[in-house]
Amino acid sequence: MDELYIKKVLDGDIDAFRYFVHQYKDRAYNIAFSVLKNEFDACDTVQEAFIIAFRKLGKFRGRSKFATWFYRIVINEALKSSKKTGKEKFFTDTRTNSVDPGHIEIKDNLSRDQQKYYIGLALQNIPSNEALTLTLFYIEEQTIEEIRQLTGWTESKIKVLLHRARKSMYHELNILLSTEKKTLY
Amino acid sequence: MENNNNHDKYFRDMLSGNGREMPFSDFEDKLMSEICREHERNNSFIKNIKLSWLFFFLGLVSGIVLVIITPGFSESYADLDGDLLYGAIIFICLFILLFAEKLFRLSFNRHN
Repeated sequence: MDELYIKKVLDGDIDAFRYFVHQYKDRAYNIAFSVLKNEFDACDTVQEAFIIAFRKLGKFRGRSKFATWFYRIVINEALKSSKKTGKEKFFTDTRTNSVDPGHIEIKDNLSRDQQKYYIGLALQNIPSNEALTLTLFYIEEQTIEEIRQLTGWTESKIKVLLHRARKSMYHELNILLSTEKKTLY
Repeated sequence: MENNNNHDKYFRDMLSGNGREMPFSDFEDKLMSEICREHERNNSFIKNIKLSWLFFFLGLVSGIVLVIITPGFSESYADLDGDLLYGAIIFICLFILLFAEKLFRLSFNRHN
């Protein structure tokens, strides 16, 4: 389907580009937000990424999927923007207290909206590179090889980041949910 | 290994379908109008480049014609002696070369 619309855009049908915007805007926003942690910055970055994709569509050779090519632009733009704004949050993990998954039953105890809220908050509080890895692997369901292609990181770095990210998420969720319990009771 | 799989399954269950959505409802329309502007800018840029090349070649041809026919003029033309006239032609040629270099850069390197 993507190839068809790429051809249409390259043939001069500019409105056909709306298909890509409609199809990929949420995922691109999700990825940009995981790095930038601010909705306005993330929105600007996604817009810039779409404009770059439009300009360079003629250079897309189809060797990878359009999504992979486009997400790579989004990630590059998001990293560039986070360096520019100085909001980069790539600190190393010093938290050692691993929490067992059994202790945080987020699915059973909370409504769908609450789950989304707490997961969003937790993702916002963990370092950008960990949030990006979690977003790509679990939310966007990319494989490690695809993440390697998107970010340029080595496979071992991605695995280490995933491990750290899971630990950080448990840690953040634990803090958030215990605060919530204290507020309720 | 099994512990790792448990963590993996736990996260997959928890995070799948919990991604954020673009919070700005007018994002698509705003972006599409920006894309249209970009397309128009690109079209006018290409048109200007074509015109630049046309006038560049017109100038080049006129310059060559001028160089060929000037030796036929008398030694002094419009109160200018021969050396000064050739100096002026060399100056114009250098100007053309510098302009050509800029035009080449604009035409072929604009995305870099």
